[in-house]
Amino acid sequence: MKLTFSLALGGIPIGAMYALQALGIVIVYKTSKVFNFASGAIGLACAYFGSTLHAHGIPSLPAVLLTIVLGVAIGVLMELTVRPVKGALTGTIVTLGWLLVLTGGVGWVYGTQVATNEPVRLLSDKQAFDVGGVLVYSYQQLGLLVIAGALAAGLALFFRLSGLGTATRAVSEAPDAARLLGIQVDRVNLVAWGLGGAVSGLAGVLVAPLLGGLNTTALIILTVQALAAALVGRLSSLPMTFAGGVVLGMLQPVVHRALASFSGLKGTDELTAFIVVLVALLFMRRSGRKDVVSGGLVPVPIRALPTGRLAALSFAGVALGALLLPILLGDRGNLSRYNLTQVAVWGTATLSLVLLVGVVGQVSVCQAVFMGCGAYGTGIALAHGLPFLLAGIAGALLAAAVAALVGLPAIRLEPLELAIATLSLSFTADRFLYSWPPLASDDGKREVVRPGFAGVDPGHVAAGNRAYAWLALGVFIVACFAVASLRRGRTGAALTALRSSEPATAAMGFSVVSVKLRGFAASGFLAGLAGALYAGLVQGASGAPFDFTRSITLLAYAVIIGVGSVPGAFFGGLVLTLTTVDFGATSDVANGQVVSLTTLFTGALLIGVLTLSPDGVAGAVGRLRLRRGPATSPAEVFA
Amino acid sequence: MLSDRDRLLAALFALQLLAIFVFGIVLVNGTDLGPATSTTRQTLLAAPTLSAAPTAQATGRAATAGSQGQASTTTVSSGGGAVSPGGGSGPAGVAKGRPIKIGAIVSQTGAINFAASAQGTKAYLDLVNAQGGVNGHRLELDLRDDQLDPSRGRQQAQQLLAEGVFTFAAWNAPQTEAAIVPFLEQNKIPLIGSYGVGDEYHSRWAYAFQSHHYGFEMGRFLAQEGAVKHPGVVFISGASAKANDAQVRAFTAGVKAGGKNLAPGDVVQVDVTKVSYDDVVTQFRLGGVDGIATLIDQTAYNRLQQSMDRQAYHPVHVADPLFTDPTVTQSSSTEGTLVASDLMPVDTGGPEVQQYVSSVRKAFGARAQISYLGEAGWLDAKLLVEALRRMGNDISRDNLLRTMDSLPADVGRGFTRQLHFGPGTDHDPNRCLNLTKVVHGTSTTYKDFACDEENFDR
Repeated sequence: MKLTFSLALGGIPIGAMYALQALGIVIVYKTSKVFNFASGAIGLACAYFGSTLHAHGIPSLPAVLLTIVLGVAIGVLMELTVRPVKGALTGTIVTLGWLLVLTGGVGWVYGTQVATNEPVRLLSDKQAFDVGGVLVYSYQQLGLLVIAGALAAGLALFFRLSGLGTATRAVSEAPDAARLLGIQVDRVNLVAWGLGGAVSGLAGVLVAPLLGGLNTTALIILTVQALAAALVGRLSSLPMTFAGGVVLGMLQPVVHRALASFSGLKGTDELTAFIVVLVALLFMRRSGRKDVVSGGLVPVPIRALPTGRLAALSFAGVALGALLLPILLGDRGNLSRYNLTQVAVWGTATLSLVLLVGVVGQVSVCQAVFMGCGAYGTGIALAHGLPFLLAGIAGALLAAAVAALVGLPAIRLEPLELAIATLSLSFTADRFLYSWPPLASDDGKREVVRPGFAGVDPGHVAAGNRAYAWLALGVFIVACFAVASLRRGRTGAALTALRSSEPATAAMGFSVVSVKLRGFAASGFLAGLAGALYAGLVQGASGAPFDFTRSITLLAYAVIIGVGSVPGAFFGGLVLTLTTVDFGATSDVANGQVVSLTTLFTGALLIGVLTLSPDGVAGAVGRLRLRRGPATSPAEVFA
Repeated sequence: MLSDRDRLLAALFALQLLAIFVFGIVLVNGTDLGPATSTTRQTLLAAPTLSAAPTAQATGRAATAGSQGQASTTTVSSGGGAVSPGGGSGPAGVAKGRPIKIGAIVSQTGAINFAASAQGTKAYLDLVNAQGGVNGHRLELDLRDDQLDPSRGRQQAQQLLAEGVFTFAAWNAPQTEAAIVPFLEQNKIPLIGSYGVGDEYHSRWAYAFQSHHYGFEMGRFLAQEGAVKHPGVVFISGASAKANDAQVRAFTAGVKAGGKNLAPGDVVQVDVTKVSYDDVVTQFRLGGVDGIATLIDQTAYNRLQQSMDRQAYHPVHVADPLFTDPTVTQSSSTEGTLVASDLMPVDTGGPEVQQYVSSVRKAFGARAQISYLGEAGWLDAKLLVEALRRMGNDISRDNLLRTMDSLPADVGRGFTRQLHFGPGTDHDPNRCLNLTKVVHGTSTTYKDFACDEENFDR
């Protein structure tokens, strides 16, 4: 009991770290309804900036104050890029772009090694007090705890009592009404983002010394954990956010001790945070109508399949290309069958997002988890003697089941809340699911050998690179037709209605729950198929290719291309494949600058596309064609 | 509106573009119209499983060290196969006087990186080339960075093979290596020197020179410390429960060999991303653990040390070699820490180790990363070159394997005690660890190498 008590008390300072990170998120959300995924990245940039100031001999306190100024500046810049986009969800995805920009920028400037820069320290990390060995804190931990608590209380009072606080609430609840009342909405938003940036920056500077040095991964991971604290505070109450962080910090070591000691389970901290996220989301007070479009991305609607001679010729061209390319491509260089197969695999994965985001109107930041389930499911089915094709379908069905489970909370959640929950799930899958023996086996891996089609001609039919490329391309093309055909029939009508309005969908006689779940399951099935194909490509299933960063980049590229564009899925697959290839014959001893620049560029592209063309490149192309062509809606032009 | 004729023309134009694209590819890549069942094509994709994370035994060596260096001299290849056509199919050889192309994949960017290892390998091969190469062959290093992405790593292995590397060597790419053994076996290409992931220790095509199970010797060293009454262990676990269990067995057996016992509750497995070690330290402190063995990475050492300082908990501590990495902060509280390593520490190493230090410093200047991992990369290259020298004019893969298997046990002299080579698939050559003590922030000699013969995988 003493140990449990001591573990729980020892977790309080860690909880304060979560809380401090979460405060920056909540301050921004309270005003703009945008969830700032880049909060940890602001802290990261500020922590590195602080280390530079420290290295140049600037004392700790002025250095910390200067880093806070940087935090304010980043927050303000972010607001300026979020302002032009419509909808909270789109704004939130812009912050994902900032996450990439800031982490890429830090990697470019400082390199990707960890712990090579000394963080600025306000307080000593030596022992502050020891109460019978049960409660042992350092000055740094105590300082963090006090600052986080004081900020939570002070800012809560500020928002409640000050004029700006009142204006913030007005802007948050009804921006148009606030504007009519003479409140300068943009300025209020700017102040809130600046304030949020300052708190995030301060969090980074204060937390970095407790993480054993400056460490990009650790700081970003901390943000994902902070999601739980922010949700406990219902994204509005700062004191509850602080309490949520502290409670999570206390729970994690106790749960870890209770579970890991007995079964050797991994990722119990992440699992605890995920459960807290789920519970918090499900108990959040429901308010307002659940209109999926109001905060959502702007999709390019799926157009019905074209008909006529041109269409027939186009289809013939696609079929011819799919037949010829695997024959003509070799196994050498970047233009290889391997990469062609990758394009089909990642294209199918992108297509699953086109279906979910573009058609169903839901957002998922865990699509790679569905892929992982498909991959592992295929390995499990193969181990039970199923032939490869059936095993792949079994894997996809497992992914569909998991997706439907994820879709269950979506019935109650707004798209933004769902995005948060799915990101948390992605992270939990990385640490917990992919090393869970029933899924990943005792070895942490599953063999996926391609013995042939349905057991026929084992060892030859799909085992060769060429045949496998045909298989993957075939699956991708069929999936494209299936998604493009969704508009036909009752299901298409239901999905189209759901994307517009849930009440309208119900009024048309459809079950919203059923339609949503079917949408999730179908999307999960496609992603699972992609995962199964990937596992077959590399002949093994593991979690590494399907980590949480993959989920983020999948969504990012889907958004850049245009979340409702079926042809865009091909380009999504192409771009995702390009990110995995080397250009040039060799690489030299590296310092991560190229990778960092790529990350930075991807983030900038995401921000740019959403700012200039919220419906992605596909939407922009559609509008371009609209100017030249007949008077049809842009949505119908490019699909 | 387009007329039907226009549409037809547009479609024909699209088909023409497609044809140009396809034939352009043919010109670039060469036509491959043969059956899809040749060894090369089948096996290029025929590699099985991938692992999600660095494995338990490996995380002890997993590096975030790396370098920011660009080579001042280079041995990287500019293309052109040095091996008989066919990539990895069959017994490939190198003609007299032709360069020997070596393919290395090293994770140099990402959450953990091994750029120090790449520096060590590159510096050694540069040195050999500066002295005229090996038996008239110049060594060409084709060095790739998989960025901890197994998909990218798989492609790179495939490309290296297709571009005619004679052998793979000096890899430090845990994610890619987790799936590489079947690829090596099916393409009949050796891997000389690697990070050391599971199956690599049981394949005749792979040679990992780092110790497989650190736990046994670390446990024994810890138990042999007289002051230790109640030992404890903390290590970063990998995705493989089987490998984690093997590591626990190794620790337990080692502690027992030292005359003490390790209770199951005193072995703590943690994740590589663990934010704080406060709970582990609290558990050990309240449980009366007075001696700990740790197999974790550099940043984890910084966090562990912070937690120990906060709680004024300073038991006897046997750490892995990453404890002496330049990125681990040394202070008065780290004084007396014992460091178990399968390689001689940089601080106490003899002329062979000092040659590594001076060569890397010369090659990379201010960007040089001198560390255990760099030593490992250097040793990998050194052992490959030693084998090539002994092979004479018969530079073939079969001969490379035969020569590797017949290398004398002291071939790693100056770096490690003895390496167990021999034919067969049980390649677990390094079973010896030494122990040094941190004094004034540097390693000093404490206990000589001790070796075990047990295989804890079984």
